[in-house]
Amino acid sequence: MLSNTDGDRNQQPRRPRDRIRIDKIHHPTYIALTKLGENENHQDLSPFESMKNVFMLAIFIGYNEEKRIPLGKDKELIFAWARFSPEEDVPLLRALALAETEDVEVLTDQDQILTIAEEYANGGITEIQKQVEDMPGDRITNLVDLLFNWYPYNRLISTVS
Amino acid sequence: MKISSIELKNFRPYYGKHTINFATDNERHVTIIQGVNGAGKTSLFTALNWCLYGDDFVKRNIGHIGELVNRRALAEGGMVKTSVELRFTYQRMFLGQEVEFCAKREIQRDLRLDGTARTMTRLFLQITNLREFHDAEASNWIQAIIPENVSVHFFFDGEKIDNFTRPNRETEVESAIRNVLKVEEIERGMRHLEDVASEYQRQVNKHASGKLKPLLEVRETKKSFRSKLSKDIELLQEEVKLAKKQKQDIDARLEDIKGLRKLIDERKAIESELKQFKDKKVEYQEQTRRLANQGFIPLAKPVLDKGLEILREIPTGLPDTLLNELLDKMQCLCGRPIRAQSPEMKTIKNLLNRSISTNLGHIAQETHGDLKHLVRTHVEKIPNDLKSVLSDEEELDQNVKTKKGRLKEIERALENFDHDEANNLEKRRKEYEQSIPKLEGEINQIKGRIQEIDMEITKLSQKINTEKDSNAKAEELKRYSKLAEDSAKAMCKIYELYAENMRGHVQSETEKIFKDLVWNGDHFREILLNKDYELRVIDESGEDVLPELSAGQRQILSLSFIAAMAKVAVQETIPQLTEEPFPIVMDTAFGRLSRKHRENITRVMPNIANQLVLFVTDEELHGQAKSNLASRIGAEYELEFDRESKTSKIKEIW
Repeated sequence: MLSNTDGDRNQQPRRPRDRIRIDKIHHPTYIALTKLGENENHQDLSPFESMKNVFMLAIFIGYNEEKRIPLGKDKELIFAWARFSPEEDVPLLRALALAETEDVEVLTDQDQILTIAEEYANGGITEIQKQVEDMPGDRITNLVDLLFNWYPYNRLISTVS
Repeated sequence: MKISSIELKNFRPYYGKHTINFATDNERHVTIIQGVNGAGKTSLFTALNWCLYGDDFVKRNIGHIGELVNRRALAEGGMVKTSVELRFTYQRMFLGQEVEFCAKREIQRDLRLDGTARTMTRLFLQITNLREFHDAEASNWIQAIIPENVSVHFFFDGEKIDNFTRPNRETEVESAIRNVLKVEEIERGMRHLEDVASEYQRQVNKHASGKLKPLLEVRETKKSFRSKLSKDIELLQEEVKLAKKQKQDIDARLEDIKGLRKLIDERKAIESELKQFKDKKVEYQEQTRRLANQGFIPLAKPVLDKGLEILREIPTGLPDTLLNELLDKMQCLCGRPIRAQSPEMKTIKNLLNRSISTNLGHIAQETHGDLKHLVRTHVEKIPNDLKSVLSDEEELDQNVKTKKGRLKEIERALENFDHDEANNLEKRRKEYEQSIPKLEGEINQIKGRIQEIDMEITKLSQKINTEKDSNAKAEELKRYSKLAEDSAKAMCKIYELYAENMRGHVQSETEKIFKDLVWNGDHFREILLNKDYELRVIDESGEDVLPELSAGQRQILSLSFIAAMAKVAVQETIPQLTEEPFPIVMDTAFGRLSRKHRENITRVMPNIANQLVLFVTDEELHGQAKSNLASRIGAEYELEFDRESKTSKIKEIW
């Protein structure tokens, strides 16, 4: 139970920010990329299974393109921190914050980890819109093309093959 | 309400402190304060009113507030404090418990350096042993106990009270009845209920928008259209089924034609394979999507590398909590003591400088492990798997192409087969085959349309529900509005009855008291107070003689009217509105009255008021009048004015 006194309230640790925010203008892109196509045909599956996946890809496109854009005034909350998988997404978000700040203390600062991720996703989302949604043809194929056109992928593939 | 005492300090002619204790005993509740003209009676009367109602009373009756300060005290220079302290008891608002109040109003007057005076007035009200209020709050309490517009009918100058009884003074009469008998409170309640009713009506208009019916109609149209589309789908599905059946029948007939069985069997096998390929294609596409959705992990390779590089440098030695504990105890893990400035001490401090908090260390360690795992299991695997699935899919596409090519060849062979029936059958089969995807396309289109309509219907249903809620709210508000209206009407009826009842009571009581007080009571047949609050004094011949009454008779009539109100107010007409009796304080009580009237008043008034305070000159009260009061007097004071010092003194006589 919460205490009534201000003094006691100040002693309560502040809860870290939990909701993931994007710029409101990009919300339609997030919706479109996770929405089924008009027909029931399997070819019209949405390219992304969730907004979380769109967000994660947008982050690393943004990072690789060195586009970190602070969020504007109008924001939209799209999902909660709990949607991140603890085995994959959370370590990647922490690695991003480490790479960005080069300060290990950032690992205990969930707010800062989120802010860095949101700003890179803000930079990367336009590229996904352009390459996946706006390009003609099947959107999943467009997504695969986007991934393979990216330098680290090509290098990896060539290494593998 | 009963006034217990009044204490004056440097007030008007009263220099220093002076106190009067009023008679409060049930039997002896009359206080006489007598003095020659100019002895300070009116100042005392003013003090009482100023203490309760403040500067406005003074401005209306005397003039400047500074006039209240005693001149002798002022002449002595420096800061002068003038105050009036009034103690009284009141029980009405305290569940019948008598509570003592002490109201004190003071003026602090001092001279500024430039010679001008500064005056500050303050009011305190104390509920004895309970709480203290100041200024506005104290004033609100006093107004709640005895409002100023009520007090004017109980604390009055005997020579000035004939206002009610002058002709055409019905407004004063009405306002006296309304204020003292609280008719206004019912009126206020009535007005409030009327306001509530119209507010509810406004809300009803806001909520009942009338949109429900058209919304229901639109939803019904959509539902009918959806039902038609569902039927269309059923028909198209029937057609597809029929086309497939026709195809099967044709295949059976082609099989029976000599030399064609082998081709037909081959075609059946290829078609079955193609069906499987179609399912496989779906599987590949789903795999591709799943892998592409994880595609961000390899893309994060630079971040993973950098993260791992930073975390590699994090010391993984002893946690800071343990090191701090060693320093606290100054003892090594093995039990040996650690001395200050020793090499062990330096080592621990070095380790501590490089250590990180336990929690952070734990997160760093966990992250390091997770990142290494991701690099090992995902970074290379995902693109590889993706490439592999795409390659399988490409191979499948190639296979499909080959099989479809073979189907074309079979089709051509059957068309060119030297058998008319076979040629015709194959032609028809082709038509059916082409019609099936066309029909399926139509079905899909309609299904898409149905999905859209379903969404529209859902939205409409939401709107309809909101509208229904709103209508239900409007219905509820209508009931409230009606209730408030009915209550206002009922209140109006109560108001009329109450006002009428009060008027009737005041009329008969005034008549009774007037006849008792006036020396020639038999001459007057009745006192009338009509619906327009016009006071009429009817004589034996039925004539209204109010305009002809003498000043003394008018004073008696006014007094009768006030006494009647005081009496009616305490009768339990409506318990919540019943007032506690107020004391009657009369300045220049009998100035204009003849001996007979004085005798009558002194005989009757002590029985009407629960406390009576009379300010009289030495000539006003003597003889029979004084004898009448003798058994009811509980306190008597004489005011003396000293010409030399120009100050008044209060002398207790009884």
